[in-house]
Amino acid sequence: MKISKKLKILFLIILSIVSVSVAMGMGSVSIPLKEQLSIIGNRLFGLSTGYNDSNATILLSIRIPRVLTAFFVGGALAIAGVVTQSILQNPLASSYTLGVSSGAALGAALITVFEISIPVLGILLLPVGGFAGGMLAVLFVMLFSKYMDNSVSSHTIILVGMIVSMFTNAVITLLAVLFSRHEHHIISWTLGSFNGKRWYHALILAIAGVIAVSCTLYRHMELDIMSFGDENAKSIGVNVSKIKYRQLILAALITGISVCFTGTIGFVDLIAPHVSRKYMGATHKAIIPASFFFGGILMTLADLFARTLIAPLEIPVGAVTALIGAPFFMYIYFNRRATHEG
Amino acid sequence: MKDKREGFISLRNVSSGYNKKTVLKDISLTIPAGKTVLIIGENGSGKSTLLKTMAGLLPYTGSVQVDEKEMNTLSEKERAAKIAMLSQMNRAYFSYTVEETVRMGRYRFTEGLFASFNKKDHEAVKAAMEKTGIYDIRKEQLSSLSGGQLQRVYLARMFAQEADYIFLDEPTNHLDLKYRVILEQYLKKENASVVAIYHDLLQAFAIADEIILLKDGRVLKQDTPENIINSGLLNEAFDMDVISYLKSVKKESEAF
Repeated sequence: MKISKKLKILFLIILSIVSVSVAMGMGSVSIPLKEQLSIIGNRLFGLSTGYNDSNATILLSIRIPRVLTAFFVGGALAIAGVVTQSILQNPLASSYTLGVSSGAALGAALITVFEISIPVLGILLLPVGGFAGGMLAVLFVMLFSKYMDNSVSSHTIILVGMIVSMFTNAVITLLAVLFSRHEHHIISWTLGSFNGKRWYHALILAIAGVIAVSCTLYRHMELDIMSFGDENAKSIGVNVSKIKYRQLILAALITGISVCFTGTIGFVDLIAPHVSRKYMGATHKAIIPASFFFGGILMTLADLFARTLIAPLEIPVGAVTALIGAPFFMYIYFNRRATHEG
Repeated sequence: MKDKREGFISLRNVSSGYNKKTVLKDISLTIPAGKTVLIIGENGSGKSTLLKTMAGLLPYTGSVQVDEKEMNTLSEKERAAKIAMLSQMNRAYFSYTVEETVRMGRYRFTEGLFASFNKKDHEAVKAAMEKTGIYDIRKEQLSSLSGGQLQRVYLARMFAQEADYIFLDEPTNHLDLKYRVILEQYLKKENASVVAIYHDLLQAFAIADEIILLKDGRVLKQDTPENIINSGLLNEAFDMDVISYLKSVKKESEAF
């Protein structure tokens, strides 16, 4: 990678730290950077500096886990977006195109309305159910695409994914109407939230993020080549079917892990890769790390808006990403088209 | 002069197609290395399917061998070392630069974890760009190029692959006359073995060492251009009086 691109990534890392720190400082109680550092310094190195004990509790048990979870979910979703867009050769594709999120939402909705309980899973029942729903949906999309079209072309996957998503969304709406007692719960799940996220959420998603970045960087050349279509990639020497399935499964897994803890949050996986391509060029060696940080920053800020804009009420973060994301996306997309056609 | 490279691509009782639709029906033919072999036939006769099947891009029944190795036993990179193909399905969805795109042709030479390109790769990429006249626009993004410039980028990527056989599907599409002439000179003179689909029959007869005449997924005839013209099968292949048409075109061009 060229030095200018490395500097840009460094800038993104600094921007990530700044936005995470701002998000950790803002909320019902303001905790300035100096106090944040004192609290963290005390916990890590036992330094005794002045800070407010209740602020320390807020920072360590609420803010940091929440902000870091948001950051890593944003990063992981962005990577899933990069992969799906390249492999399906469609800049408008996202991991949602594969049916993951609607499948996950349906899984969670079914568990909610039928009040299923599996004691062993405890509070993990909903995430596990969501994850299973998401994976089942992807599996169905892939198998059905294969059945319809032997070569499993990108168009077939996108079309089948869209149909499955629409169908599952209709079933979710139906469930919400039929079981109106759970309507609020179902709707809030489909709009996502980082409320009440703990350290273990942040840790799981950090691991998912690191795995996502390394597995995709490992295949950066193939992802570049495959964005020119299966036929070209095959004749250049890429094992298309193997990498296509593995990378799509990876995208589905990281999306599944993200949405199962937080509910479905749209647009970040669509916008982060787009912005990264504008900022870094098209090669995956550059846009994979860039998208990870962009996605993280976007999600951190979206969550910050969600919890501070009309505090003490909280807006679902999915609504914030859509409210900002939709017009922003329209701007970059049509702006791009205008420059291309002009 | 063509070289005397040994080797050949051979098809024995090959059928292939898309999903459940069989396009090529029981085809047997041999293409010797070091020659320019052009495939002609009307729309839907199976030209592209034949090219893709020989390139190992489609599943087939029967036997497709390249230099005596069965196609579907080769790894993807081994296959890319044998055959490089310029397909018609070339759309750039993302804004790679010209140089980044041409560099992808070197993929088959890369090895190991988090692979990258070496000095030899960069030299080959530069040579391929110079050959196709795109070196000066190497920093441009694909989205800013014209159709003809894009076609040259993909040609350069194919040259950078340095494969034994070169397959071209309608290579002169969008090309300016200047680069068409350069490409046709290349087809006539270079040492590489070329198999190409050509729409311009007059040009095809002028360039080819051999011509494969296709009709309804079967080979009507494979022979030298002269023998193809004299066989009278052209009219059958195209459902019209091709010979009279070609004569009239030739007469008009001789008026210059």
